Parts: sequence; C-alpha cells; structure tokens
Amino acid sequence: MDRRVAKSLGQIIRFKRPDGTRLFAGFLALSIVALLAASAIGATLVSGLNARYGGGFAGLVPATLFTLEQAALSTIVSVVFAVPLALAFESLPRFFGRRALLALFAVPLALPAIAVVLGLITLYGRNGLIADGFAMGGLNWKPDIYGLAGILIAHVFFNMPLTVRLLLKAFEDIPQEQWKLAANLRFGAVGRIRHILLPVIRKSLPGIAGLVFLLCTGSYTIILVLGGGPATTTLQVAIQQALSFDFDPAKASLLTIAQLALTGLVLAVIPKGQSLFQTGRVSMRRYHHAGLGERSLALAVLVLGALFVVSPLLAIGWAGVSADHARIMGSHLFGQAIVTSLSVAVSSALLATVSAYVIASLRYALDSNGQRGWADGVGKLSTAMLGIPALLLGVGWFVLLAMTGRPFGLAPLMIILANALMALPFALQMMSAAVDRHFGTDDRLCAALGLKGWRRFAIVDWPVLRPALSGAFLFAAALSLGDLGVVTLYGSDRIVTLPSLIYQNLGSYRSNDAGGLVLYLTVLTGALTLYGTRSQFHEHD
Amino acid sequence: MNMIELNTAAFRWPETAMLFDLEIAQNQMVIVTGPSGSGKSTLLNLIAGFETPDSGTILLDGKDCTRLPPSARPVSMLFQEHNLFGHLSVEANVGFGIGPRLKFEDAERAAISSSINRVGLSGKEKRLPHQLSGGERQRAAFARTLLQDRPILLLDEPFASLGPSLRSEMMALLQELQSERPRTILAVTHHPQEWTYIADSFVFVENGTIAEKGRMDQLEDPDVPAAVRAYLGIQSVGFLKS
Repeated sequence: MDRRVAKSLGQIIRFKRPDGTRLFAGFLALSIVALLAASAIGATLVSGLNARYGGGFAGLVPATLFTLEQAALSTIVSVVFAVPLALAFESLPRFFGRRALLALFAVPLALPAIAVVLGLITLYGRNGLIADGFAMGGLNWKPDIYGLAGILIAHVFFNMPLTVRLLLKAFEDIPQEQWKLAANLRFGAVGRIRHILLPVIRKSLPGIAGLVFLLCTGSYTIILVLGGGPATTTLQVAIQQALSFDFDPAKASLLTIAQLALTGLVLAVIPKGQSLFQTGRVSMRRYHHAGLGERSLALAVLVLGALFVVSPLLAIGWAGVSADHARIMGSHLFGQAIVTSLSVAVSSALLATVSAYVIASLRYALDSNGQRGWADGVGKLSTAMLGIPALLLGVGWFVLLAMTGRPFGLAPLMIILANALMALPFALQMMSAAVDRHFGTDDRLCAALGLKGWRRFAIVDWPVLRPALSGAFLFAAALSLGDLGVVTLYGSDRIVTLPSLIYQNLGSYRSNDAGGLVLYLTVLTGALTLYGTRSQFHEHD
Repeated sequence: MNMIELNTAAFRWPETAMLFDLEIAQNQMVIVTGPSGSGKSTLLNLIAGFETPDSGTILLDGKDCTRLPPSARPVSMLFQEHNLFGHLSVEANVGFGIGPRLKFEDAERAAISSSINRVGLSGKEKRLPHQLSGGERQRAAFARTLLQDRPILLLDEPFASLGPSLRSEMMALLQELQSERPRTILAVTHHPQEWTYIADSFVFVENGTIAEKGRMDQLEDPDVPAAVRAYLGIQSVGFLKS
C-alpha cells in the first residue's frame, strides 16, 4: 500500500468519538451507495459488451446523433433567448414585480417534466389552446408539438430561465465600483453592456451552456412523450424501448454504455464556470438611468419572456381545472398510483436524507481531522452520482435481476433505490453547510457535557439540524414524486405511480384525465419544494 | 467661491440618519476622516450623485446638483479598487476620460498618450490591468481623471490597498498634479497623518454628521476634541508636546 495512504488510514483509525461513529456510519453508507451504483454499472458493462449484437448498432448511431443534435439546438436557443432577458433585467434594476418575475423564472426547475409536457401539449398541441384561438379567428392552423420543435420548446422552457438566473448570478459579482464608474464616465446602455456585462457573459456563458447541454443530453421524460418516433429517439428513450418493448437487456445495456460515455465526454469537455472578480460586495444597486428607448425595449423583452414561461403554467392550471375530478378520483388506478407514489417518495426521501446526513457527518469528521483530501474525495464521489442517469441504475439492476429469472420482482425497491440515489447529491448539498456549522460549534460543548449517541442526537443534533434535514427530505420527496424514470422500464401493468399514470393517459389520448392528475402532482411537488427550500430563500433575503 | 456646498443635506440609512453641512472653497484639498460607518463614504456618494438626499441641497461649482444623475455632475471619482475595466488596455481605460465610445481623433489620442505619460506609465499603454501593479493601476485611473477634466475630484480611500512607500509615491504624484492643474479634492482616509503636508484641511465625520473641521495642523492641536483624539489614537496630548 502507498505509504501516504497507510499513514492517513492510521490517522483515521485513531479518530476519537464522535468522529469514530461518524466515520463508521459514513463509510458504511458510502460503501452501500458505491456498491449499488457499481453493481448497476458493472452489470450494464458486462451485459452490453458481451452482446453479440449486429442489429444493436443500427439504432445506436442515429440515437446518439439525435441526442447530440437536440441538446445542441436546445442549448443554442436557450442561450439566444436568455442573454437578452438577462440584459433586460440588468437594464431595469428596479421595477414593480421584478422579484416576482425572478421567482417565476425559478419555477420551471421545480416542476415535474411530465407536468410541463402536459402544459405544453395543452397550449401548443394540435387541439391545444393556440389551435383553438386560430380556429376562433377562422384560421385552420394546427401547430404540431410532437417532434423536434416540441422537444426544443420544452427544453427551452426549462433551461432558458435557468440560464437567465445563472447569468444574473454572475452579474452579481461585478463590483459596485464598476457601476459607479459607468455612471461617472457617462456610459450609455451600449457602454454598460459592452464594457461591464459582456466581459462577464464571455467568461461565464461557456460553463452555463455546458451545464444546459449536459441537462439536455440526459433529458428523458420530455423526449419520451414528445419525441419517440424513429427520427426523434435519443439514447435514453432507445434504452427504455429496448427494455420494455423488445425485452432486450443486452441492447439496453449497450445503449446505456453509449449514454454513459457521452455524459462522461460532455463532462470532460464542458468548460468550468469562471468568475471574473474575486471580491466585491453583492448589491443590486445600479446608478444608471435608462433612457426611454432602453426602458421600453427591456420591458418588451421581459414581457415576452414572462409570457413564454407563464403560459404553460396557466395551461397546466386550465387543464387541471377543466378535468373530470370525480371520475379520476373514482378510478381504482388512481388510488393505487397515489399510494405507490407516496410510499415510494417517502421511502426514497428517507433513504436519501439519512445517507446524506451520515455522509455529510463523515465529510465533516475527515475535514476536521485534517484529512482534506479524503473529505474532498467523499464530496466528489457523491457529486459524481449526478452524472449517473437514474435509467442506468434501472437497466443495471434489471440485468442483475434478470439473471435470477425475476427481473420485475423487486421493481418497487429498484424505483425507491434509484430515486434515493438520484436525490442524494441534492440532499447532501442542502445539508452539508448546516452540518459543518453545527458540528463545528457544538461538538466540544457536547463532549464537555458528556452527551453522546442517541441522547445527543435527540437533544442537540435533531433540534438544530431539523430545518436542514426536513428541507432535504421534502425536496427529495418532491423529486421522487415527480419522476417518471425507472418506472417506465417496468411496463404499465406492473407498477403504477402518479407520473406513470399521467404518461399512460397521455398515450391513450385521455388528456382530460391527465390534466387533472398533473394538477394534483404539480400542487403536491410544488408545495413540498416550496416548503423544503423555504429556509434557503430566506437566507438570500 | 465655494466649489462644494451641502446645505443641511439629509440622508437616512435604515440604521442611521445623516445630516451634512459643508462648504469647500475652490481648489482646496480636504481630507475626510472618522470612524468606520460614520458616513464618510455616504458624504462622497451624495456629492457624486450615487445617493440622493432626502432633503437639503447640494451645490457643485455654483450649480444646484441635488437631483442631477452622477453623469451630469462636475465630478470625477476614484475608489480603492476596481477603477479599471479588466478586459481593456490602459489606453482604453484612460480613454474613457474623453468619452464612453472609445473612438478617438488624433488630437484626443495625443491627449490620452500625454496623460499616460504624465502619470509615468508610458510604454505600458497596451497592458491589461492585471499586468500592472496595484500602484500602476491607480496611476492609470489618475490619468483618466486628468482627461475627464472636471473641477471636483473625489477619492474614496484611493491608496488604502498600497504599501507605505507606494502610498507616499502616489501622494507625491497627487501633489504634483494638484500644483500643475488645481482641482477641488475631497479624499476619504483612515490615515490623516499621512496627508499632513499635502492637504489643506480636514473634515471629521462622526455619527452621520460633520463633527469637526479645521486646518491640517490643527489635528495636532491640544484643543482638538476628545473624539478626534480618540480616533487618531492620541492618548495624551501633553505627552506628545513634551
């Protein structure tokens, strides 16, 4: 063994309580997580590479190309619309409703993809509200939401507001002095954009665009519903088709390997976000007085952007309100879906929260004992879970279970585990600061008072960390509730969740019922997300 | 004639209320000193137009500027940091003193080059700010204020991030520039003693108002109020004199 590693291990073994417990529990959780992920990846690799598959490659290339094509187009369109919007927000630093508009731009990320898809179909579909509007005007024009155009609209709906918010975040780093100088040096709109904002955009946009591209290559639900034809099939959708239609785990594995390689490649290639300024007080104070022309232009851009984001939300509400709720509630599938969804969400959120807490404690224990490298490694390993598509976990475990002859036997457990692993990085992110702060201040006091073990957790840790823990739990539950991922691998007759029931209804043109279900789902996940992240919003105030 | 005149200019932060009465004659160099948070920077921000008083008036160069935006005031300003735009060369940054468009005629180009020369940066016209030392960056910013050619110069702790020898170098440069082409200068500083030989007078700000003012030599006067003494760290005046 490497001498340095041996030395670090030696130091770790000599850790004192409570760090010993933290190390044990943390490494245990981390090992289980790693084992689950590794077994899925391993099974996929073995099965995919052993596949004697001539035909598999035929679907592989077009699916890969379309994955890249739609991601590239989605990124370009999102950025092209986001930059003027971000500039417009900067032009008008103070107006009534600015905060509300910014909050609106945070909504898409909190919405389940299946809900957004339904909103877009309700709005832009062949029989959607826009088509109705044209019909009322005597025009028989029917827009087509299915295919590349629909995929782009959906991806822009999610990623354009995200890009705007990330750009505005980058603008926050601009030192106040530069804004004061701009006013003192009599810069107009062009000067402000050219000399203050554009340099920041140039630095930060590659990283933001890379993130958007990554998100679009991993997009699943949107393409499953809006794409799906041979010409609009991405790798992820091809994986689902290989498993649930062709029942061909080897082909699914091969496609999964391609998806994983693609994700890895994109991760390696995309530029890291850079900050232009090291210091600077964050403040929204601006000292310019925009002229009438600039103000009207900025306002027009903001109104258009707001309309684009708000209209699918209104469509969701409209579709929900006009659904036949008595019929939905009366169906036995609905009851089944609610029970399954809630129990899956609670179990996976509980798993994610507990493992995140244990891993955050491990990270703290390593860090506070001078093992910076190990602590960083733990953090990186957990973040790496973000790069593993949930679908891959599903495929890998499916392959493993197929060896026992009962690939569908443990479907609910697989879904719970996949959702828990998916939520883990977010949960960790949401609580690690609170855990570090709490242990850093209260460990010595607890030691002095002789508090340890469960007593300590109940008396000290739980009351202090409850906001962070419950926040992570609620967020993970919302994520799990809204996810239509692994469940689609198992076919509709085996297990029904709220999102998969919506998907079924959309597929069989019962979009009226889908509308009602989406409304419930949106309200449920929205409430959980809002309640779970409320502490984070307060911190920003 | 008074170049700067604040008449009961009131400004309210959530925590503190400020009220300024101040008259500064043309071409005087005045330092503004006082404890952190006392309102020194607010005073400068009011004069520059980055804040607007709730009541009272501000007259600059004989003109009522109370409601004018920063761009319309006869004021140029320098900060402790971030005085230059990082993606532009020294030449372009100095050129902003002429106008924001960065398109120059020959005469303007000559003016830019001569003010770069004047602050001792010739040969470094094409450098980017991060290729300059902290002192050189402030020199470039000074060159820009020369081109702006406005009668009032506001300095918000312009030398605070420089070491002692660079500080005295910059002080000397400021003094030279002031004797060649005098301006009315208001400089915020936490080190009034360093300005003893180049400033004309001081203003002591405390709790949002001007608590004391006088000639520079009066800072060492035994009659200087206790608050000023406490701020300067002079425990016992008798000890100093003996």
